[in-house]
Amino acid sequence: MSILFIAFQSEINKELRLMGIKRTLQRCVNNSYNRSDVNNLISHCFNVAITSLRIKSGSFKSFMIRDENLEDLAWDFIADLFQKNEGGELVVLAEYFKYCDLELLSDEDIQIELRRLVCSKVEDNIFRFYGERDPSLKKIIRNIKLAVKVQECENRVCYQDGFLIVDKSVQTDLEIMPAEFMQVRLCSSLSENSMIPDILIKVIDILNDQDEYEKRFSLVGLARMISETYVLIQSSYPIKTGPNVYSEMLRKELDDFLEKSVNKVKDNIAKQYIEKGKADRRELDIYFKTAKEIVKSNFEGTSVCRSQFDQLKEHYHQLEYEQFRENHRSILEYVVKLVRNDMLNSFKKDWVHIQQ
Amino acid sequence: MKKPTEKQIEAFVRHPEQLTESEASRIKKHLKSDEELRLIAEWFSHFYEKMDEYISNTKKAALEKRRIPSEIDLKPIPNVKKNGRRVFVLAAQTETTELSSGIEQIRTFASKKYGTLVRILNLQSRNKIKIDVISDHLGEDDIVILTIPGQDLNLVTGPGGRLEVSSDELSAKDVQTWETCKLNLPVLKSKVNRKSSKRDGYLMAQSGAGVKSVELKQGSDHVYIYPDQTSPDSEPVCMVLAEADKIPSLWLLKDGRVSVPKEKFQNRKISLFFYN
Repeated sequence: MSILFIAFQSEINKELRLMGIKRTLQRCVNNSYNRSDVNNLISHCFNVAITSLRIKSGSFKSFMIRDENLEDLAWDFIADLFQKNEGGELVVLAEYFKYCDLELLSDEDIQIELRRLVCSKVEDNIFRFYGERDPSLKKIIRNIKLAVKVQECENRVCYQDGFLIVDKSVQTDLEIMPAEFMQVRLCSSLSENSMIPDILIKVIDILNDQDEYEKRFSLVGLARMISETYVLIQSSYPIKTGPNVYSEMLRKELDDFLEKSVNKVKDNIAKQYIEKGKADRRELDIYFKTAKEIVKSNFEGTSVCRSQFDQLKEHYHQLEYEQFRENHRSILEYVVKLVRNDMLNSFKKDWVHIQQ
Repeated sequence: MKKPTEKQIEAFVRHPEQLTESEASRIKKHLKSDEELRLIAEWFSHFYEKMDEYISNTKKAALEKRRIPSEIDLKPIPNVKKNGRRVFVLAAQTETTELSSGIEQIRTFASKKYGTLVRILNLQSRNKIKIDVISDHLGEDDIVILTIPGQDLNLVTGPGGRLEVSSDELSAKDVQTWETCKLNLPVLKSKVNRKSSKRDGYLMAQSGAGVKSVELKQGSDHVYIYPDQTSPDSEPVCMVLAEADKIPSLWLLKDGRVSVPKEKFQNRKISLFFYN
């Protein structure tokens, strides 16, 4: 069979699988289904759930579900969706699609809706599963709960019924943000030394900066994400230990590298920023000074409890968090990123040079 | 330009043909410039690629499975007699009575085509007949049904195709009259735990061709089991064997379901095997 034919066949299979999923779901939701409808829907949901679990177990992240029987897990995780009442009504499915006019949706839309529903079900159940299995998760959960009470978060987030809620007044029928998407957003701005309060602030910002999902996120879900991210970071940046004299030498070297990187990045971008009116010379000096402190404390592992906002506030005493978010955060984060990357590159080059 | 939603990105990845040209090009532009959106699109793409791969592998397994029958006819093979000469160990010659193991091979049936062998032994010292089924298609916990044509005899093995019967129930003489035998392998297997045995729901059943659903319904004095007979690739089922506490009971399918009295079912861990 030629490759082209296989690709064509795969397209046909995709279309065949989709055909009628809308009618099937409609009958299931309207309690006019037959056994074949439920079997087809179960099969479809199972395929989504098993794929999600296989991806997770195959990745470096979900090391905890690697040894499990994924098919059993997938089945257990979607079982709730097919709960019936005494009248045989599929109550969970009916409730989920209550506000959705299925008639207006195509088979393709229904496939996406079902994917979203099943993936969120899998996520929910993984949280429960992890919570039962991983004692270290409890520590992270406790630390997140403590972080909710720290000054920076106090009036911005609360914890209720298993969720971190950033805006209580908003009652919506929106979905909870899928864990994968929160992870994409969160991990892109985390550093290896980020502490729980820093992470929580990022989560608050992520939830506030979007309107597509609910302004709340599962506490256990976040804890699991932090736990996974920690594993990833630990493996990418192995902790090295050595005699103190080395660390003293290293600190001096670090200062030199940092100084050079700050100057280099400043030379590269300062002119452009001033010309475009994004910042003046004085502001830029403060950003670079703060960035230098942040990168230094990141590498030395000191002052890790302090957020970027805290560190900038050292130079802007009247600075409010809202002001920081609106006017300074993006520039400061960018500068920190550039300085850090440049310094790492310089380190790498220097190391390669010595090796040669 | 407004950022595309995740739903739009998913549609762009999975069903691009559903989008208008301008919608598609708007999303494309965003994906080009926004790393975060690109990561999300990559995730969708990876997800659906893996899902299609899984479904296609399951379909391939289903095709493979069709080549294996749920029933295997076995032909007798003659017992190989050992050379009459014995080996004597001069320094440690043992008494003849101790040398005898008391195990006699009565019959052996085989199917070369399906790599399957049934061996029937007479355990004289224990007054028992032992049946062993060895097959490439037999799982560790599978229970098989051995049918002897013309004898009106069905034997249900234990897990792994092993069975011991008292010589009073099945004698070596009877076994010697068997001309052929037929093996029924389970086409579906499922497990019911204490929790699911008490309520309506859907059980996961494993077949060589992937996962199927089995519906469980609670009646007033019976539990009804409905194997999936609706999917195009589902195997027809005629009987169901329920094994609880090592005691099997066989039930015939009627009107698409099997009715098992509740007392045999409730609050127990049960293995279900489906045969056609």
